[in-house]
Amino acid sequence: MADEVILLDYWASPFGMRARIALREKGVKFECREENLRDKSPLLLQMNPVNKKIPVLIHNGKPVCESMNVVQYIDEVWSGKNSIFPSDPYQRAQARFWIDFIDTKVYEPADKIWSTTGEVQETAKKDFIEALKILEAELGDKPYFGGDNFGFVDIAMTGYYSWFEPFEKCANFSIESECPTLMASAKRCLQRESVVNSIPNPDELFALALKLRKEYGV
Amino acid sequence: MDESDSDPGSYPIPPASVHLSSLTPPPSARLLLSRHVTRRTRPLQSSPPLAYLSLQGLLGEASSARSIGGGGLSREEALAWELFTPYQRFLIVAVIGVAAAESKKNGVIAQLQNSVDLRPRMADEVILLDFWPSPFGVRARIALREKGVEFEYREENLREKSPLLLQMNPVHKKIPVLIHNGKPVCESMNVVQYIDEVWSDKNPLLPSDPYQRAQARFWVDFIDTKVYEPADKIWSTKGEVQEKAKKEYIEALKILESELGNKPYFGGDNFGFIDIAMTGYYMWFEASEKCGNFSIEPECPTLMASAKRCLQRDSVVNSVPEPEKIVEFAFKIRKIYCV
Repeated sequence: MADEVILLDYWASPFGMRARIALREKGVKFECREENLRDKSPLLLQMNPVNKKIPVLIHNGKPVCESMNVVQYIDEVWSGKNSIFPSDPYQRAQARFWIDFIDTKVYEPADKIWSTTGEVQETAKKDFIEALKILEAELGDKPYFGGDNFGFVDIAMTGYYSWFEPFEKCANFSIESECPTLMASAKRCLQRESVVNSIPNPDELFALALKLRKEYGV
Repeated sequence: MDESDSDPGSYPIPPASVHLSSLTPPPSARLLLSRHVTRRTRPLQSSPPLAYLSLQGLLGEASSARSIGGGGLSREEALAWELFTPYQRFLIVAVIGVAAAESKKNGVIAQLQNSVDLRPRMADEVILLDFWPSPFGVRARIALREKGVEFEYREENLREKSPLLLQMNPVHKKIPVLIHNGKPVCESMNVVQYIDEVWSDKNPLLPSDPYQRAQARFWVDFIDTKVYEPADKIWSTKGEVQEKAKKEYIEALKILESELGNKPYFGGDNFGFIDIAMTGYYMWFEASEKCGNFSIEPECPTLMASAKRCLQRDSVVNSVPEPEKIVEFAFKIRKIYCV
């Protein structure tokens, strides 16, 4: 039976990007529906009543919410191709640990870099780089966090990699000079077909960031 | 509360029972090329028959067939060998050589696989770095006891963290840390999921269906944001901040209560992943009520019923401190924070 796969999404969201990339890694046909986050659709509110956020994957009418939860679900359902999550329990625990680290220690300062100025922004830059350096140490000399293969942690980071250039422009700093190996891995990820087809142009993201900064009076 | 006593719920580790010697190929493998072997006493006119061939007789000229391998071929075998042309003998030797190598390789692979499979049946070293009143630490304790895993509980002094904790969780320096055969796993629900995957033969904690698993992970994420943040403020603040926290806490519990519905546990009929996550907070319910001067039961009666059910489970009874001790601890902390 043909699966019905709908993704409620927002083009610029690093979290939405993760779901798109995972679906494309698996070669799953899906319908992407763009949400206006200022005027959320009844479907979004019905499918994610608790958090009312994107991405929401609706698979044969049943919703799955929270980006890395969606990625893991995609990996388990369409398990035949391009394994995203390792099979070894210890490696899986390590992957989940780093996702949790990324979605706290990278997310919080990242969110402030593009939306604040002055001292708040400076502290955010410092915390952001510190977190990236910890990740870089974890990456080591592997091409991807998943080792030879693009995997769970790489997908999580790619949402942020797509925003690296806008962050650097918003806050006037260079990520590459601080984290060259991580940047090399980022470039590798950004060249993957599933990623190229899933992320917007960095210039468009920067334009959005500037627009929102203006609106917030930053 | 002494966590390190032997646990009536644990089972003895069975002895290793794999005999590896059966996997070693015998020194002189006799390979049967065909089931249909006719021992002949006179030469054939038709195409050569298939025959028994000893590996000891792999090489050599027909005339010296009897002397191959130190006289390893019997009279019949030597005769059979002589029936083949040199090219056929070469092919036979090549095929047998490949088959032997394959068999040896498979034997080695099987040995390696068995040595890997042997690990869970050997005594595991399981250490839990923990702190007795922690709602996160308790989750790991409960999961280990649900699975009947013997473990060593090590109490951490959070004001003076041990070198082992700092080495095993250098990123966050927090408990719980599960150290399994020397390798650390951090973050409480990550530890619970790891325990479920490694000791998968008993009491599954996560459902097997991908959609149900996604639901379980979603609710645990909800609990560790929407319940955790106000709970933390109830214990450590007062006045308006605390009032607001109480309101948000009850709101979050009500959302959970409607997800629970009329099931005995979030896991349905079985105590599972979400129930374990919540039990850390259930054990703090009394302390929260006393710190915040409110009552949870009238607001969330069904959730409270499930909480009581969870708090009566063997694995939980053996893992949670007495509520009075937690209340005492909470008030001690409040005093330190001048609340």
